[in-house]
Amino acid sequence: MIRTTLAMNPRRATVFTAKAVAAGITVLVTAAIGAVLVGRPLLSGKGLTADLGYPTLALSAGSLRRAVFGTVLYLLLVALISIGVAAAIRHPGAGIGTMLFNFSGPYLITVLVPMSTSTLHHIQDASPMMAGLSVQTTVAGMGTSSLHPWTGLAVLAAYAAGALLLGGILFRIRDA
Amino acid sequence: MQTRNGYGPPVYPTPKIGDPAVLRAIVGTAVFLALIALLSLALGTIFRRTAVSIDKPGCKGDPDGCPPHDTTAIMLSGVHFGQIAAIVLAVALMSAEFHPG
Repeated sequence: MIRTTLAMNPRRATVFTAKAVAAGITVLVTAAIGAVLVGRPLLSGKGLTADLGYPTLALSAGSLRRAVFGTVLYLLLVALISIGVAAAIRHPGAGIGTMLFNFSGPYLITVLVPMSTSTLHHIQDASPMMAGLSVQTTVAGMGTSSLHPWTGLAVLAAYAAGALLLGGILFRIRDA
Repeated sequence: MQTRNGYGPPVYPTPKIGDPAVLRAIVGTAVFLALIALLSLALGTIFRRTAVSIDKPGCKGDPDGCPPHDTTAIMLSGVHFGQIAAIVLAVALMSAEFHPG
């Protein structure tokens, strides 16, 4: 199939970019709808109210908007990393496995292996999932990493840039 | 236990532990249980958020002594499912052409 695609459009950079854009837009739209509509009514319906230590932020709160918008960006970046990794690895099963291992692996290690707080912070700050998800933090000290929310997302963006670069280069130079 | 209650040979032959099928059943059961344990562990960790500061003893189970929960982050924790969908979709979009079917 990829040979047919490249026979129709031999410019590989264009094909690669088109695939990244297609995945990005699909995930972006779905994530935006999901993030805004699903979580909020679900929580209060299950009894997680302010009385029990679960205060809900007003919709106008800056940190809430940052968390929601950041989550949408997070999913977009995850999709872009997946595109890069998939272009490098090619096999779908291996690609999905690599992505899940890289995202959840460091987190499972921090849960299972006893370690000092500074080691924990180092792993959290370098892990794409934990650093990236710190963009959701609205209570100081409760985040998934010790990074500032936007700095954490920047770590994930750096991973995305690296993965896209690697995937793009390999897509260009390797035989189809 | 089985033999005592009448499940004896020749109708119910006593299994030999070295028999490949018997060995497979025993080892398979052990692996099955181990995988179930692993799955529970994985699900448990997905739904539990680690706080950065783990050095706060006495905070467990006592909301009064703890900082407030990050309700927004909990609200958005569906992202863990969302990212799996995003990964599968994006990888499939790129890889399906290399390995169709």
